[in-house]
Amino acid sequence: MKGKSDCLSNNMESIKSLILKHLRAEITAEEQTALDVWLAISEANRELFAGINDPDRVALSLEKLGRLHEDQVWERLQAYGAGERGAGEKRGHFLRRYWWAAAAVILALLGIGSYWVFNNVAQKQIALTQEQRFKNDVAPGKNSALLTLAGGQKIVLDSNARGAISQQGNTTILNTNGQLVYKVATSSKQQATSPATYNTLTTGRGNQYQLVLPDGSKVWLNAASSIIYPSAFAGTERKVVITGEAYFEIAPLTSEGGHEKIPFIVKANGMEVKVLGTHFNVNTYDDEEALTTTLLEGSVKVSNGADNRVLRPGQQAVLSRDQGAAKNGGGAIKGNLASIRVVNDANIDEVMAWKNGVFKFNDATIESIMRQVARWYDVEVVYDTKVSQHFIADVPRDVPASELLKLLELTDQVHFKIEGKKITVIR
Amino acid sequence: MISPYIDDTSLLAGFHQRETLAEKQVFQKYFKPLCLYSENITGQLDASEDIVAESFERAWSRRQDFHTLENLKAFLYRIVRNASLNYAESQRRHRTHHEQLRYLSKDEPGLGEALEHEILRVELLQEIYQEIENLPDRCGQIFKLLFIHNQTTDQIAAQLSINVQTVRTQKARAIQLIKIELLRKNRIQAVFLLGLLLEYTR
Repeated sequence: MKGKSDCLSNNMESIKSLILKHLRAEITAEEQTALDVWLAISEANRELFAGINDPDRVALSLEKLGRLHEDQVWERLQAYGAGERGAGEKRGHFLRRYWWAAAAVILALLGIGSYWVFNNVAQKQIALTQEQRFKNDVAPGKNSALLTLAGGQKIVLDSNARGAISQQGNTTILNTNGQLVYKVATSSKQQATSPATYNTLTTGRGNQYQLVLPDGSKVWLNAASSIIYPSAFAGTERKVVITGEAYFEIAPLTSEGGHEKIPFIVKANGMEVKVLGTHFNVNTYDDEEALTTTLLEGSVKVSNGADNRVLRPGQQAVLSRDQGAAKNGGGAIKGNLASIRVVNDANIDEVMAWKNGVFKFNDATIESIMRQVARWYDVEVVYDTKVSQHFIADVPRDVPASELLKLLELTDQVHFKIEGKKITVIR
Repeated sequence: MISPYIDDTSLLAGFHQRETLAEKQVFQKYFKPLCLYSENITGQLDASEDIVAESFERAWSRRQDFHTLENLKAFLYRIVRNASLNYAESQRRHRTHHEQLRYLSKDEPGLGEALEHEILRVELLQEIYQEIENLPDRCGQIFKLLFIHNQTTDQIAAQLSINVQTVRTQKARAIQLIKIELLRKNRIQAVFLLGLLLEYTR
């Protein structure tokens, strides 16, 4: 006999099924319509649906479920059932009083036990523990750079070089907290005529630095990179040369008469990026497969001497390296006049991760991960094994190397040894 | 695991006859959702677990009274609800400062619509939990480590000197990943690293 409750339960089962299918993204159009009908019926329905699709709330509930002691409760229930057949309810009460005491002991053991089991499983496959393999830790990179002035004078930019550290013509060079600022005396009218003096800012491995150019443009320099720039901009264009990787936020600049916009040009190993005022990232590391320019805002023109492309925000220009040259530690872009490849919808988060103080790997090989690790931690990376797995990760940069490596090891697809400044990738 | 009970009727029949497998299946079907349901009222998982355990005992002791599985389910939810409300009330009286009871059914006792929604909610959560439990290979292990073994959450938090709420927030973000990627039956080849957890260590 079908009562009201039976009808309700059938309905609930089908709604449950629809919602789960929706969560799994396996729902058919027809089913979606049925779900939409249910959602349209009441605010309560919509509220329920929203709740199940809310990651924060679901996570909280899942965590609670994980804390339950289903097996113990089952044991207790079975014991109750046995007692039920025998002496009846009295035994049930007796059990109840002591349940928590017994459970507390079991729980404590279980707590340690399951953590151990997981850890042990991971350890079975490698000979040494993490503690044995990580002989030391490696500190993350820091704000430090070397400034070379026009005359050849070198200044190390660290906490000892504070405030105004030099004067170049009408420009005062100030250093504070990881940022080098070129301040041009505003009243000066001599800028255009005085000869340009070029300075170089260099970061070693394990360093990064920020630079504010005489026109107010900002540059973030990643590890193992450099930028050559004038202490004051003059003429009809602003030109800098970089190696390694830098992110730019270029201030627009107009000529004295106010008629023309003065373009900003970044040159790097055969690639030239021309901008009027915009935000973009240039990656020209020698050991990467290609030179890239990724545009966040504004507009840039990227050229390789023969071909050029204008980028829109979100696009990335890729100039492939001659593969042979890359292996020998640095090559110009492909000799033949191959076109520049433009990638739409570049992963901006991934490109800008370094500037935002994080590592972001999206389906990355272990080699590309370790190249970034080598530059930032200033270590040598050696491979004892080939890892074919790809990785997705999101970790801050200002933590010691072991943190990142420990997380990579959690996947059980790769392990590491740290010895001094050398990291070995092992099976 | 294949069940020898082909439908609710045969499951209940097995339950009536004290078949252990039937008892276990009935227990596993309702235990988790009932605990979540109760915790929503009491705010205390441990106490709720105890309440649910006792409720099962009461159902066990009157097993012949249930003519359908739905009857049994309705019975369980009713006594769990009452016991939870009583517990919450007694706690409120003893509290020195006020805490809000998180959820009270707006309707009268019995299978009103609000109760039905709540049951649907907790049953969905059980299904999601089960799917994560069933995930194969490393993806599943990592997610289980971080979502299901609660002591690891605390361990991670303690290890990194960040508070547990931060860890939970990061885990919630990872749930987003579950929905999009993993519940599409392992379409993705990459391995997830939940280094998201470290994001707020500064």
